[in-house]
Amino acid sequence: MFEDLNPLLHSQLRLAIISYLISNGKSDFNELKEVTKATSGNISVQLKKLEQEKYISITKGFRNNYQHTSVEVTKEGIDAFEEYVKAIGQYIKK
Amino acid sequence: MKTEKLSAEKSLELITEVIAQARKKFEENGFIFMLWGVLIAIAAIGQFVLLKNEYYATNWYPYLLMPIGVLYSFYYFSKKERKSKHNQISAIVSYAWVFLSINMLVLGFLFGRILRENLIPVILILLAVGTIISGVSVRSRLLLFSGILINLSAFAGFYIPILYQPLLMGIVAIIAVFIPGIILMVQYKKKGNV
Repeated sequence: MFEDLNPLLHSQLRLAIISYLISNGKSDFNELKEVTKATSGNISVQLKKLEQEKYISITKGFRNNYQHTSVEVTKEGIDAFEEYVKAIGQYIKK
Repeated sequence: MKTEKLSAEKSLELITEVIAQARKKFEENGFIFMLWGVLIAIAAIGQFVLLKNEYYATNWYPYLLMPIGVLYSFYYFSKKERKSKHNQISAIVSYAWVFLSINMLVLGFLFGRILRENLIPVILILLAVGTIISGVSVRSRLLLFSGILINLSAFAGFYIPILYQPLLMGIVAIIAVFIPGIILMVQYKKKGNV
């Protein structure tokens, strides 16, 4: 049997964000924009979706007088990503 | 085709390894740092008090707490490791601590007379190395800076009279081991891992 893939993670940009956060722990809006090559608007929307699901935590603050958004993966985010990887593993092995 | 399948499995393995590593950050509850911070502080300050009151023959007795602490740590980790997932980095950290603690005990109990006033700074350097390795492995800046602080205090220790070295170690254990342990425990509870 093939397990369903988590639809929230099965989107290129959201998956890229979560993967990047899992291997780097913490990141910020600009860095995510740079690695994913996505537009600010698109990243904002995807971050909001991931935050609503508690997969990431977002902290807004100021750095050198500019607004700075730092993003961190949560334990729930790691759990969801692990489930996703396990599920996709079945597709690869079969 | 076979190599392609292998490489897909290999990359899955790699991803699983990265996930296990990311999870470590959430598993560090600071307990072991609190425990060792207290044990080292009690033993070292105890030694200082004994030396100050001229109990020269028995000044090392408080360090008998150390082997008890090691045994308890082994028990604690064997229980904890059963629950958590192993990965290469956690194995490196565990082995590093096992060998560092063995070296600290051997140096303390067998080479004290040779090392004399260099013993406590050398032990602090070993403690600093372990703390830095742990800090890097769970990406904790707090532990990394604590390790650096222990390391610097070890260098300062070489210039401190032998009587005051245990006091230095006790203070360092509270500031750079026990307090970071409390902060890690608070962070752990905040993340909802109670």
